[in-house]
Amino acid sequence: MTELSPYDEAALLAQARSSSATEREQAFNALFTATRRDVYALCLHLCGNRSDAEDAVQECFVGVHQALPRFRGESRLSTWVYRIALRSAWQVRARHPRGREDLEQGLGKPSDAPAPDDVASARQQTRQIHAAMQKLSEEHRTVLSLFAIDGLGHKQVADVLGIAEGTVWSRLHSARKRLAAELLQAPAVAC
Amino acid sequence: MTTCEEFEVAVEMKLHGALEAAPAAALEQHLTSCASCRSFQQLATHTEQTMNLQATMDSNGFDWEAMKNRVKSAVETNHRRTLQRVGVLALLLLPLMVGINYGAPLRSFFSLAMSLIFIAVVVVASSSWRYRLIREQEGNRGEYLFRYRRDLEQRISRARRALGVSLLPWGLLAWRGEGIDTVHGLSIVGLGVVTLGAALYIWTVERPRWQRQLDTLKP
Ligand SMILES: [Zn+2]
Repeated sequence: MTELSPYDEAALLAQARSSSATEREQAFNALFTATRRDVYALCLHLCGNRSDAEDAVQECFVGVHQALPRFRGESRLSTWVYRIALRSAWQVRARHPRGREDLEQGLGKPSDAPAPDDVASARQQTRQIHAAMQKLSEEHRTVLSLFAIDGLGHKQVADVLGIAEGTVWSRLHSARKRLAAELLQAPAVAC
Repeated sequence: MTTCEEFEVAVEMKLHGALEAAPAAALEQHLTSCASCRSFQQLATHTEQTMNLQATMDSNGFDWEAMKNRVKSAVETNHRRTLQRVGVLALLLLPLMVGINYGAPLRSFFSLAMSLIFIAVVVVASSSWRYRLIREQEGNRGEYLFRYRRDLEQRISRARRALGVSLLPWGLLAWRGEGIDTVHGLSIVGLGVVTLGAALYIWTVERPRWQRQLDTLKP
């Protein structure tokens, strides 16, 4: 991920609060570029399919665009963006409670070209994991999705979720156990 | 650490770089003799790597420029809608302020308050009408539940604000030092009684009911 250092964040915030519309736009563009991959990953894991994830990403950044000039800096900027991403993904999910077929649609879509065996097998495993994830509670899905973001430490995960650092590990552990149980029950997904 | 559950938590901590040297050594020791914890470690590493890989593969082929344009056009649409709403509200408010008070000055507090109450009633009625339309559409239950939940959350937060707003007429009365001996003072008292009564009713009767509904509708 394109890590935002505290210095970058401070500069970006100053720019976001500027009276110049061009500067505000530049601040948004920089924040968008720095967080888009992680926001997408989060939304993809929470929503379980690409089209819902795209809607959630859009909603998230619309919210960020509108609220950025008013952000008071009570948490890290990226933490704030992840919280908006979580809310957007939950809302999109609540709007489209779908069946399993839909959940798998658009996820690791096979292309027209024949895929090498390892890619095909990775796709199959991904589908199994995503299908199992969709059976978990919102709380469990969220903690697993946050920890799957590369470079996001447990302190920031705790901050995003608004829970104690110690609670994060027990929640992650119980989510992983649940996921394991769902994976054991899941039938093998055909390529 | 003595139980497998504690070692499993340590596995997660190690995977995310948060395990110190001494417990890490104890974990390694335990893993050599416990197949169950080894299998948990494999599962944790595998699921996380797969989720990470999938997101990376997907976002590599993503058209971010198109997404940025989608966001910006949605922001513009929101701005336009807000302006339209303000315009419609102003258009509604002006004739109402003149009409309700039979041509009394526009700055009349009473006519303004009456206009706002009228508009609130219109908004509530139109939103219940919209819900009915959504609910009647086949296969739109997800959208209906989503809107209903959001609406309940908004109602609960507005109930809190309504209590504060209901104190405004009394503040105004105190500030102007008026009594019920003038028509103006009397109308403010009347308004104060009505709004305070309504706000208290909403707070004590409606708000708990909305909260219960919301609890049952949580996803
Ligand atoms: Zn063990």
